[in-house]
Amino acid sequence: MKLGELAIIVRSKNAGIGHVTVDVVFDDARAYAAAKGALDAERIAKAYGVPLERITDYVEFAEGLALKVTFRRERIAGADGLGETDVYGSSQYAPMLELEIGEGDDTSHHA
Amino acid sequence: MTVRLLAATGSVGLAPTDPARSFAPALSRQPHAIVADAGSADVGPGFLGSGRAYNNPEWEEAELGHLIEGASRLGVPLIVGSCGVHGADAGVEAYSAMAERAARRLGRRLRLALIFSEQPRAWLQAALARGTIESPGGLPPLTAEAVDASSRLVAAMGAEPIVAALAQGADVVLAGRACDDALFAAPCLRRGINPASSFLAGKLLENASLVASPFVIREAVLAEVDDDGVTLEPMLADQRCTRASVAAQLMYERRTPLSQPGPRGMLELGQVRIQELDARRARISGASYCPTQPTLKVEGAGIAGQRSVALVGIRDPGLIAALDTVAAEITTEVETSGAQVALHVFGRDATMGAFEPTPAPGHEVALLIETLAATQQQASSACLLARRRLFASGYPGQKATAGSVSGLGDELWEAGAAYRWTVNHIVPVDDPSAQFVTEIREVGSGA
Repeated sequence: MKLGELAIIVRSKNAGIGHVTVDVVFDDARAYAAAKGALDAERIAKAYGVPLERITDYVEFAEGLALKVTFRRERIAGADGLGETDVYGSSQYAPMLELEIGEGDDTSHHA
Repeated sequence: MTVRLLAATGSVGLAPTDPARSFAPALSRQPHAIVADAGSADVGPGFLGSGRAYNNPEWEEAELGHLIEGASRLGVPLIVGSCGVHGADAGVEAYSAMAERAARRLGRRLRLALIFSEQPRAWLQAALARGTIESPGGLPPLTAEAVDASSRLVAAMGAEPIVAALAQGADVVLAGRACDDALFAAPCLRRGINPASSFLAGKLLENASLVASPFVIREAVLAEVDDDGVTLEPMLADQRCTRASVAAQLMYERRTPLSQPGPRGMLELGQVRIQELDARRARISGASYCPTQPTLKVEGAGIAGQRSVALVGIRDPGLIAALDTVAAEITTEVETSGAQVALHVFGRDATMGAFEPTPAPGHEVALLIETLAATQQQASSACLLARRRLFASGYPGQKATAGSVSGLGDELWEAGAAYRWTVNHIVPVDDPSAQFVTEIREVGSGA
């Protein structure tokens, strides 16, 4: 199953002017566990086609049944007055939707 | 002890609102204070740099009028923060004028507390002379040049100046740039709630109905705050506070949901608990608060140049295929003229830029040409040059000899001054309240 089908919230937004953060929230403990087992910072970096160093934070928020990944922006929000593509950082989540999660398959991706 | 807080809207004046939907029902719950945030740095540096209005002032005035009318009817304080989105002095003054008109219209006498947060460049230079000033991300350590290049500077206030304004009997607090959570923490702290619950309430309420589900922005949420935690209840009939909706709010616009820094301390949420109490309400507990060395977050923006923009459509598969080559040639020519140019290819990668993992163009694309130069005339000249070169561009397999781009017309959009963030730094201070000047104004007449 794709992450976009499994999660109930997948969104992005600036986290300060230098970072874009992606929130993935589930309403079901099994779905959260499956996604948590299948995902890590490396796999997400690969989905975005960026080096792992661009990811500054990867948080498993167990109480919220949520995962959170934060990227360093290539240029700060507003891009010094020219060439900004998404000033709010609110349209940077689409590659997350397509990530394939083996639902209930807790063994395949555990490190 | 329990404090009832009403988060009236996530963003004052963002669009027209209907107070009957959730604000009016919330008033009947007799909140002790009404709070609304009006600001964000997310809107980019242009509004702070120029000091210009972000919203339609009519929408702001209508919404502020509803808030003032509700608070004055209940006899409870109204706190509005980051007036005008940027929290610059012009925003505070604009909101003060709106509040004064509301007081007259309502036939009420109101005590306004205006808390100004603009900062002189000399103050920041002096702070810089005392030691290195770091950015929480995005900018290098602060330099004297960056301070000088700032058209305007604001510091984000914590709760103390707002608590002090409430202690002076303010009916309406109009704060300049403020930490969003501090607006909500202030009336809790004033009534003796501990900092952990006070700032937790702020974190949960700062975007009002965004803490509830389904996704609706700018509707009211009621919170009952005590020393052990916060109980949330959305005031829009169809909304619910769920584990997921609350978790999402704790994650919103920050790198981690587990902690949140402020001018005097850190809200720690590593042990946070989210319980759904019933079909609509959630209880959040387990926060703690650790005092830290006092700091202020300072934001500054300065002019980057003047900007012009043009938009064209491209349908020829040959030109779409050759677009990078054509764009590189045009960029070189425009840059030789002394301007900077950015070419955004909508239908390929304009939304994510270099972050786009699948930059495959569609059967047509739109090309947004953006130029930046020292004067508007130079920016427009560069933009026109790029547009004319595109119209007459050559590419392999070309059959069209009458132009290969489309447009609504041949006009440009002169976008005026473009700004950049110059300062976004954490400044160590002795007293985080000392930089904020409060002015009391008695307005209106009557009861």
